[in-house]
Amino acid sequence: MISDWVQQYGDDLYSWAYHKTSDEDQAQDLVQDTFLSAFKSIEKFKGKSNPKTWLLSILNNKIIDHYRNPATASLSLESITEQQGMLLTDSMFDQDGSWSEQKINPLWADEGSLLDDIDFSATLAGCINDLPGNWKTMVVAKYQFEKDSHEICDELSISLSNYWQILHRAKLMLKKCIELHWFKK
Amino acid sequence: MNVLMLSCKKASSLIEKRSVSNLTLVDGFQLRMHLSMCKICKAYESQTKFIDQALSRQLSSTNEAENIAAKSLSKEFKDKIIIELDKSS
Repeated sequence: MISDWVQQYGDDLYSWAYHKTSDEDQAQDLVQDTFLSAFKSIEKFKGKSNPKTWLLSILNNKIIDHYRNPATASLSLESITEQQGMLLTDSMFDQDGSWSEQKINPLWADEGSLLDDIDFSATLAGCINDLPGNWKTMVVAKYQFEKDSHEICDELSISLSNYWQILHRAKLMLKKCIELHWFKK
Repeated sequence: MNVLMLSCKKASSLIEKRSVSNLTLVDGFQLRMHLSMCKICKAYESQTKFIDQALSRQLSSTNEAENIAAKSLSKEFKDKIIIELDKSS
């Protein structure tokens, strides 16, 4: 079955990997790794989702890992726990709940040009990876699979208010991470 | 703290809440007031929108799929993958 998928979806995966990495060799390696991983975890593939969607989700994880290593390796501490994430984002505010950092980082002034910047993508990928596990799962569910809030809450067994609170924390952490790691090149 | 005044921490969380559900009238009013006065939260509002866009772009497996340039793997490379798969089975 997987051999058929190589024929059927190989080009699409390769196009996507190339689009994300701008490197033919790396894109090929990513595609090969994707099929090998898919093969090993084929029992996790529930026939209810489209094979291409499933393969793309594996590929996207490989792309994130690829960005993480080595370009963004310095980004990550140990993977942090949810509790550490709460403390870290708490520290962005003082006791009254005002921003600890009162200056607006100049990087945000030309945010428009960042979206197409491959180095920025790498930084962002590293930052996504540094989120606590649950937060990352939620972010991926929301943005990769474009699931709606209620669906995500059901799947993760959390309330809607829990959901936007975590989303808030995750966004704060991404903001901080981007401010710390971008422009340091 | 004045009852009319939100802290920046609360305001920034309401910005996120607003994106997933409706705010109560009071919350909505307080948030609008806060944003009209607080430059840093106003900036945060646009930063979080930017982060939204960047995350969609980075992670989405559907959005861009139609706009990306089609590339093809060579037959040799596909065969190579299939051989690797056979080896690991």
